[in-house]
Amino acid sequence: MRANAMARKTIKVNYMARVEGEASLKVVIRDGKVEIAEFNIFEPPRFFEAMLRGRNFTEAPDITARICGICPVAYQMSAVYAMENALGVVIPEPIRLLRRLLYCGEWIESHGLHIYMLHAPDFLGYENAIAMAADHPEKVQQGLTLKKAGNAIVNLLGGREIHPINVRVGGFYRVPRKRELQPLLEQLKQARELAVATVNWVSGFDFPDFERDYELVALKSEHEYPFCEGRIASNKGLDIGINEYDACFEETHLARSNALQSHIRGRGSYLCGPMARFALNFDQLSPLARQLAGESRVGPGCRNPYQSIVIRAIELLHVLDEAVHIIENYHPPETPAIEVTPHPATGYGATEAPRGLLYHRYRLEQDGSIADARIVPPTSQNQACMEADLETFIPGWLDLNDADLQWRCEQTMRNYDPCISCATHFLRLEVDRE
Amino acid sequence: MKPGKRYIIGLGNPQRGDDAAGRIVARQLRCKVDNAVHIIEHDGEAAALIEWLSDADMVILIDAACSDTDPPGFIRCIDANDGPLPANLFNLSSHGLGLAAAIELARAMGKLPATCLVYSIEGKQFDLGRPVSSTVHDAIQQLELIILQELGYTLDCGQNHA
Repeated sequence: MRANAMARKTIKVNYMARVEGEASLKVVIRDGKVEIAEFNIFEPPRFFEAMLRGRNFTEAPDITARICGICPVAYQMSAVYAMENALGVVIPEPIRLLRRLLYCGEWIESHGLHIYMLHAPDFLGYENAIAMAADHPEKVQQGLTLKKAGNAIVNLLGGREIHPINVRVGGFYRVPRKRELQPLLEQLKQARELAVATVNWVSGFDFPDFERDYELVALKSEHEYPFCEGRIASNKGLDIGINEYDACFEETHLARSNALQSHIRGRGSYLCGPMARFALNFDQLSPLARQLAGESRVGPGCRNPYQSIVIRAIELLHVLDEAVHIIENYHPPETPAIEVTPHPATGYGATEAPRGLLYHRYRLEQDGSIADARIVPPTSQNQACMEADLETFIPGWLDLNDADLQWRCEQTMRNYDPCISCATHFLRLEVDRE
Repeated sequence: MKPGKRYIIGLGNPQRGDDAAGRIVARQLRCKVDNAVHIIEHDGEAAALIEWLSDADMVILIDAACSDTDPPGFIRCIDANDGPLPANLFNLSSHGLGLAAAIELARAMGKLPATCLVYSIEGKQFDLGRPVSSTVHDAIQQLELIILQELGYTLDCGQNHA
């Protein structure tokens, strides 16, 4: 096997399975060292930032929701908070809580799907969820039941399960009566029991023994697990307001990929998503979620990316706890939305999509039209970190045969639940003329 | 489960040209079949599809296809109980798990209904905001008649009778 390690070996995965969108992976190993580790995103660019120019500020939530079928709520939330930041709007607490409830629904959908359908097969040795379903139909059914619970929230508050249409700058178009939310309670309480079982199930998986000294970046809040508010912080001292994002982070374009790669200026790659949120906001988890984390022996010091599946399960439990709490204490707002008057301004919004930090910035004209937009999704922020994981971990796997090595590389990418559809929205055009 | 429960499920994105074909067929059938047949328009999200598949004796699914081999407007009928759907036909979902995955998950879990037919119309244009192409529009009318016959309706002077 050592002789193999000394030769040149190329692992090429032309179509990554069980990720959202189209991406490929290329790894070149020479003399036992990783020469190239590239996670390439080749789904066509989406041009959403250009598409937003000239559109009215009220249209941004519905337009940006179309970037992704998995996390439309995240796009809507980052958009409305950015617009409200620009226009000096502070929403009433009942509307804020309804937005958190809607976000809970999306996290339940997304985490339930990823844990059961996309990531668990890696740990149990199945090619995909379909193969896993033949041996473990009850597990697949659990995943579907959890996803359905999330769907129910998004459907009720958002107007439909995919690409919700009820979110607007200043609030909602319509808010539910208390009695409309009550039927969700029993479903969510049952889903919470499934979430407890999920934590216990995935924490028993066999995790590769790898860690990295990540810079973990997430919203940090002093009083709640972050969705839409807080400062952007890291475990290595970063602590900035959302409006300082552009000054601290930079994006670069690599010719081989359709997505931009993000770095912290002068410091390098960073990781956002569940592990970062968990590390920075552990104390804000619900008591039950903290208890299960303790029993799973996964704490805020976790730096093993493969254990992100456990952290997702703990977050799943937390958001079900929060959803139940919000509904039990719900009082409808006096009005579904507050009126918002446009004026020239720039606004910033950053919220926690299931996969991590989602940053929006908009510059508005006097009439409320969008002069400029910038959107930085979590997958493009994590792309450099994903490649660094491969460079770091692959040398420990050189004794694996090619098939197993390929599988391990793909599993490593799926730790991030990468959403390629989100990451390919940019427009970058350079014209060179004489 | 109610014995004899029947679903017609039209799938697709109504804002992406020919991808709306399945939904339009379902919508047109709504007023032409009796109330015992449940008509659903849906985006193709797998969890919901599996729930309906688990709940029925008969399901007819209608979706747009994109094979790059068949001409636009081409209508296929696939009996899902005969085996997996062609992997290259139904890749239009942006939601991670779509129609083909839902059927295979249901099959693996033993929840595929006794009758599970998938009709597809080969699409031509799927761009955002585009209308349904005229070729696919014609195919929609043709498929509507095929499904009515499949359900046992006879066609007489434009009127349908069970």
